This record gives sequence, C-alpha cells and structure tokens, in this order.
Amino acid sequence: MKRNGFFLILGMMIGTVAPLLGALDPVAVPKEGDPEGRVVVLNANPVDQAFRYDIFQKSEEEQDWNFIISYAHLDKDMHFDIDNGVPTRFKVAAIDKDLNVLEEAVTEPVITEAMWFNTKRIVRFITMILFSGIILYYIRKARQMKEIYLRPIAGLKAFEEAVGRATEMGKSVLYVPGIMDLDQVETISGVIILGHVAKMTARYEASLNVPVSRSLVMEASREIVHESYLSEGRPDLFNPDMVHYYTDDQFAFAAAVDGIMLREKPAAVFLQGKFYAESLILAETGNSIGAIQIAGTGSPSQIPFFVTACDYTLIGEEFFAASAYLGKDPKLLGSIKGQDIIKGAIMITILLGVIFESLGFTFFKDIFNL
Amino acid sequence: MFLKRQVPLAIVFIVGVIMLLSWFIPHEPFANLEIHATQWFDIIASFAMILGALNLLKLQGRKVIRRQKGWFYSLAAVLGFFLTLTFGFFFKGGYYLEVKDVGPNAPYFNQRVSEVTHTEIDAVERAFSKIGKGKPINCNFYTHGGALKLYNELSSKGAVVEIKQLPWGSHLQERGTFYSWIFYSIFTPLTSTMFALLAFFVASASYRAFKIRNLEATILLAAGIIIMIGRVPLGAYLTGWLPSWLQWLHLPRLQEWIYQYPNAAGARAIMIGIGLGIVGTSLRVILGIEKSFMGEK
Repeated sequence: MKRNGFFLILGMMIGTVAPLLGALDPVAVPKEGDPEGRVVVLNANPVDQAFRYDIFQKSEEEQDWNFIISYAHLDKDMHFDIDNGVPTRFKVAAIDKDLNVLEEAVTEPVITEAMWFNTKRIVRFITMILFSGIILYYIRKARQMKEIYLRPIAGLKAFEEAVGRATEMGKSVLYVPGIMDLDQVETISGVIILGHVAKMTARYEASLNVPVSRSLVMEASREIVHESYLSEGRPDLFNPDMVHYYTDDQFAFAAAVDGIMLREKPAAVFLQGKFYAESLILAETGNSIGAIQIAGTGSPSQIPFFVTACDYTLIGEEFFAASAYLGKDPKLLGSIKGQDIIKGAIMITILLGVIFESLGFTFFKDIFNL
Repeated sequence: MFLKRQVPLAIVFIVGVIMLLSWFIPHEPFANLEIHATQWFDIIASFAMILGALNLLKLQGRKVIRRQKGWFYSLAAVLGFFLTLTFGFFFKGGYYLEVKDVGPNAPYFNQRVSEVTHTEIDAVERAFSKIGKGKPINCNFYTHGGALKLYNELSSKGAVVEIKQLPWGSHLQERGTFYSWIFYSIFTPLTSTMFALLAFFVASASYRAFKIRNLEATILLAAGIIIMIGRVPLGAYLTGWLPSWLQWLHLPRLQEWIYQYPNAAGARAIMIGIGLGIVGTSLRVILGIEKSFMGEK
C-alpha cells in the first residue's frame, strides 16, 4: 500500500513537472554529411490541443527572435538554413485555436560548419585529376613525337581557302568573335582563332574587319591581331581600327554586322565564338551576299543554324581544337590527342554503363552518383 | 617584357587553379569566390565600356565627317549615342503629382486621376482613401508643363497637390521619362524588329536544308516533317485511326521518339565534345601552353 502511494505521488510529481521541462523538447543538430554546412535539422514532439506550431530563430548576435514559419503539424526532420560558424537557437511554440501559447521551448545553440572538401564531388575531382593528367602526359609526349596524326577537319582546311578567295576578289575578310565577353571560353577560343586568321590576312595582304560587341574583347583582339601582323613581318598593314566596337546589345550588334555585310560585301565571313539567337540572322545575311562562311561555336543550340547557313561549321570540340590545328604547335596538338584519348575512355564508360544497366547491375551507375 | 609576359601568365595560373579548386572546397574563403570573381570581372568590364564608347564615336564620327559609304547610318548612331547620354545624365523628365489632400470634390478627383492613370475609379478611391504624408499619382509627365496642367485642374477643385520629380536613378526604370521613352519607343521596337527577322531567316534556312539533294537531306526532311506535324493536333488527328499494333506510327508518339532518342543521342555527343573542348582549352590557358590570347605566339 505504501509502495502504491509512493508511485502515485511520483506519478503526480512527474505529471506536474513534465510541462515545465517542455514536452516539445526541440532538438536542433547540423545536417550530417552536408559539405556546405548551413543546414540544420530540427525535431520536436507534438503537443495535444496544438492548432499550429510557430518556429523562431535567433543567432547569438541578435536580440529578438525571428519568425520563420508556421506548421499545422510537426514533421520529422525539419530543415532550416543558418549562417555557418554562428551559434543559433531555435524556438518552437505550440499555439491553440484561440491563438494562446500552449507551450514553447528553445533548443541548445547549434553551429554548422562547411567542410574543407566536398566529398560529394569526389568522383568529379578524381575525374578532373585523371583528365588533366592524361592531357598533360600527351602534351609532354608530343615534344618527343615526330608527328601527331589528327583527323582532317574540312572546316579548318577551308580557312586558308576563304582568305585566299577574299584576296583574289579584292574584298575584305569579316571576323566576328561572338557576342559575349572574355569570361566565356568560347570567346577566348574565338579570339585565339582570330590570331591565326589575322596571320593569313597579313600574309595575303587581305583586308580584315573585326566588329566586336564587348570592349574587353576589342582590346584583346586588337593585341592579338597586332601580334599576328608583327609575326608575319607586316606591321605596316596593321591598323588598330580593324578591330572596332559597336554595342553590347545582341540585336543591335547583329544589325550593325548585317550592315557591314550588305555594304562592304566581304568575300569571307568567319563567325567564331559564342552566339545566341542572332546566329542565324548573321549567317543568313552572309549567305545572301555569297560570302564563303566558316562558323564555329560551343553553343549546341546554334550549331544547326550554322550548319544550315554556312559553308563549313566547326562543331563543338572542333571549334576548341581549331587553334591547335592551325598553329601546329606540338604542345597544343598533344593536348588534342589527350582529349581524343579521354573521349575514347568516355565512350567505353558509356558503353559499360549501358551494358550493366541493361543487365540490371546498378553498381556502375552508383559510382558516378558519389 | 617580364610585366607583359610572365606576370599575366602567373596571374592566370594562380587564379585559374584557385577557381578550379574552389569548386571542391565549400569552406570560406573559397565558398563564394566564384561570385566575387564575377563581380570583379563586371567592374573591370564596366570601366572598359568607356574604351568601347570612345572607339564607336571615333570610327562613326570619322565616317560622317568623310562622308563615307553609309555615313547617314553612322550619323544615326552618333546622334543616338548623345541623345541617350543626354537623357540619361542631364534631362530626366519624370514629373509627377503628390497628393496631400483629395479636397472637398473627391468624385472629380477620382474621375480625373482615373483618366490619367488608366485605372478604375474604385481603385483610385481605395488608393487615396488613406493618404498619410502624401501619395503620388501613378502618372509621370515628360515636362513640368504637363504636370502643371493636371496640378491646376486638381487644385482648382480644392485638392492639395505638389509637383515633384523622380530622383536620379529611378528615371532609368520608370515610365514618363525621356530615357524610358527612348528605351520603350525606339530601342525595344527596333530590337523586336531584328528578332522578328529571325522567323523569315528560319524559313529560308529550312528551305535550303530540306531541299532533297542526298540521303541525309531526305532523312532530315522526313524527321522535320514528322516533328512539325506530330507536335500539333493535326498529327494526332491524321494518325488517330491506326490500329493498336501500329500505334508506334502514331505521329505524336513518333515525333516524341525521334526527339527523345536519336536527337538526344546526337545532342549529348556534341555536348560531351564541347565539354572536353572547354576542359582542354581551359587547361591550355591555365598552364600557359596557349598564350596567343595575350598577343603572344
């Protein structure tokens, strides 16, 4: 009897004290395995009679609680973002239908930290190292090799033909290095190819016209054209105004280049760089004046337009390989060889993936999900 | 020579490697490096705009002075440049009325404001039911005279209004300023015209591409027709009668198959090539193997 009385009193005591301790009992912990940190996982117990739950957040630097969101039900593992390295508390308040606070409780401070290495990108990191290693190996090897065979690309062979045609006809060569700035690899590639075309125009004494749509591209292109004319021993033919700026605007630039095409009727048009919707406007106008057109771009959506309207098109990797082809520098050719080896490896990997997936083995695909 | 050759190459190498590694390091200070680098680039590019503008003026101005072929187009370019500059920096327009009190004749006020702002009378009434320290009428005037006319009309009926002008900066976004007039009434229609030309160019390019010359062109033509017809209701209508064992010939299904499989396979092959090309070019630039972009052999 005494024993039963003891348990009765103990039960009453727990029943009285439990609400003070907080039945919500919220716990906030950093999300495990998240390389970028910032994400906190919040869990709390539901409360009887609760109509909704309000969640608040406060960092140690702040005085007041910031309301984040209201929930009708408390889900398991609620995710919230906080600043890395800043201790932050969460408050969960259970509210009844009359908007009275039934109960509220605060978590211990939680701190998130970003990792020093994103483990979710480990496969990509290894792939990067592997690809870079292969390219570097072939660059090194290229110095010792007498000759590196690369498959002929019709578009690149036509470069000299196009400049020669313009010279014979006594007309100019028009070169457009895309419409984007130097932060795009395609623009850099376009500017590099311009150097080779400028060498040809210097050699053949053909007139070169380079309209650009970005000021930085103008400066870089000018420098490279100047260097090309110097290297060909024809600095007298160089004129800084060969490279000139029109406008940053896409269609205004297209209108300006179309105007040049229609007024000057260049015999050769090179469209090499990053293009968007203006690609067909330029290429069709070039086609209408009967110019020999060689296009090259890394924009997949513009390739069909160029293929349709231009005489030659450097598709994707051909465009990026153009400089090495035209320059014939063994180191550059070696890097192209390395790229081809990587492409072969990718093809084998895709084939293996198709075979394993078709047979129902998923381990191969899972490797790349890491 | 050292400053022109070695220093830029060293900068390209160091920045290139850091940017590359930052993609794998989510910890500060690497986490937001890409955003910072983009902002630095934007700042440099903004200053470089001056070089471009000067070059434009020099060449187009020379064309006008020498009366070269097409000089009147150059004149339009130069005039457009200065006009935009003037309206952007000197004459902004953007006069508007700020209402302090609707006055005793609220129906007239609501009617008149409704007319100039092209909004419902009820909406005007609701908007000006609580004015506070002052509420602007959502209609900007190019000139002070335009605003003054409405000011006189409303003041004569007892409304307390004040003529104000938009601050510098917001005149680039708001309607009723000279700059926005150039943008919306000249620039936008011209740009739309150029974009609209694309439709005609697509037609002429498609005609050439679809002309039956060889097997490839014939396949292209067939695939093009299936895609075009299969994507409109006519395609479903034309082949809707096919029995179930010939359902694979149903045009919407056929076009979807062409789009999802042969087309996707080709596009991905090109994408892989482009990706490899970008990796290769970037490596050549970062490692200083490709230096010609700096004007070096």
